[in-house]
Amino acid sequence: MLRLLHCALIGALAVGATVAGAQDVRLTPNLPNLTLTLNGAPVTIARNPDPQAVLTGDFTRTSRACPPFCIQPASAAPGIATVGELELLAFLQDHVVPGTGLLIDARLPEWFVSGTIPGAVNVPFATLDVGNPYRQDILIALGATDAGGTLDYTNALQIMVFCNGPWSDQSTRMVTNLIAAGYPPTKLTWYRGGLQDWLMLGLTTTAPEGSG
Amino acid sequence: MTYDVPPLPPRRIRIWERPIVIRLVTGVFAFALAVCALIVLKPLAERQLARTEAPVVQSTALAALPAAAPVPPPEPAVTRSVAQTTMTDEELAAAREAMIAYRDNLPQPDQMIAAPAPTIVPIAGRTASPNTYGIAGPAPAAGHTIQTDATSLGETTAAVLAGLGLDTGLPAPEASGDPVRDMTAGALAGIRSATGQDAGPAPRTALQVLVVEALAAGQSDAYIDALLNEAAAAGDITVPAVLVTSDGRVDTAVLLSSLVADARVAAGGEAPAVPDAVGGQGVEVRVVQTATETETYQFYTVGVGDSLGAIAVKFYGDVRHYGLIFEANRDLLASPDQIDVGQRLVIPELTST
Repeated sequence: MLRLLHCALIGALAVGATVAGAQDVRLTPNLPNLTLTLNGAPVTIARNPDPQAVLTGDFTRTSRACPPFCIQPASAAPGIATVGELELLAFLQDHVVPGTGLLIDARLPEWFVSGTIPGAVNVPFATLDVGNPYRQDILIALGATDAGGTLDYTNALQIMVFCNGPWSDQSTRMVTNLIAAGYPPTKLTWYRGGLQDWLMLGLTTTAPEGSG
Repeated sequence: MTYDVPPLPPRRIRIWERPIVIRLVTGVFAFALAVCALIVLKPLAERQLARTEAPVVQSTALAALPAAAPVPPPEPAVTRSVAQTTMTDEELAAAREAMIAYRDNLPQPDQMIAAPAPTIVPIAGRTASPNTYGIAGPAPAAGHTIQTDATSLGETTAAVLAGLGLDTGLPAPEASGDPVRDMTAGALAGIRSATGQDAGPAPRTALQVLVVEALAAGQSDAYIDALLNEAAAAGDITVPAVLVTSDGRVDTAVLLSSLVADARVAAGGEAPAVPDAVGGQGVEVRVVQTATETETYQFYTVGVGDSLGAIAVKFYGDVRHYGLIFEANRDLLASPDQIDVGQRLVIPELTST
């Protein structure tokens, strides 16, 4: 399924993609970059063109204390697909742009505003904890409908969740909490690499203005 | 010649050479040590005891006073025949009717009630199927632990009244100071903006949604009480701590009466008055007279079904002052919902703010 989406994405873009001159650092061999209309504005997702670029700052740290920053498994929960960057781009194009899906940044708001993946919406993992008395409002905003005491997820959005990366359990917890709330696993996917891998590949991030 | 040998003096056995005496001495020494320890430590222990049981110790010493002879000069508060000043059921029902009448007089009440964004639960959803929580079933077992949340009762009533189309202007939801609520509001705004939904109402707790639905459907107090308790026992709702009773139920009466009080205030009525004096089951008044002043202490022994909110209403007329009682009894109460039958609470005097 994802492979199909991926192929469709590349096929579609191979035709219409604007080949940006002598770009050496491409998304894929046939795709230099990707321009999408997210939240009403065009956003171009590309990689850092400087072949010598290295990471600086917080995301170069190798040894955050575990706990709490522990290595995450390859699968967040049974039945939940783990995806990579290209699948994330396909998800943006196939679900976020037409409005059938949501890319969720599960980190806390202060992390979100400092930079996130284009098109992502901040839903901090703590808001889906069973202890949050307002949780149902979020589930309903995600497309669940109240069916007399239980929630019906028939028309709920496709969701892809990420956080800081393989060393953070925030997105894992969010996936677990969504499943516990009854969210169908078929509507959930997990980008395990998170901001860590996204930045490692020199991909575009955005700092949401007036987020929230 | 006889050699006059002086008789050997009998060998003196020193006292400490006698094994029995050694034991005796050791024993006596140990005993003395123990006595010393007792003398030194006992007052300490007593002081400790006196501190943990402060109100009790104090009042046993004073208990005789009012009974023996009515304390001489100034104390009208000593009289036990104080009027019952909490809201009676009739008053509550009347005020509730007033609130509903007020609501019904608003223009197009149905639209106002249904007004929240189209994505919000239809009001009829739950009330149409009253058996969702097995209303007819038995009440939850006493002692069931109800989950509480960080919302205040004032916030809850404001949200419920807003849900009924009545803006109380009471605690501004934005200034909640609850990080999870603020995060939820931020997340909701993000999702709604990304998915093109209307900006809906501020986040509401499951309790608030339930009460709005029930009131809008004109359900009786008893129905709402059963509904809330079933939902709380099932873990579907969390409630403000102040609404948890000594037998582990949700104090629906306090919730409804504070709704009524807030609705009345919002409609231009007066804030609930502080009762002059309170009497009845569990209330004690103790008067301490020293050389210079007379002080009155009030105590209340928690009964079955009391919540901290109910006690605040009883003594102060307003549930919002529950914090005074809670703070004065921190040694007994771990949190406002940990209230047990038989606990003897100090009721501080309500100083005007």
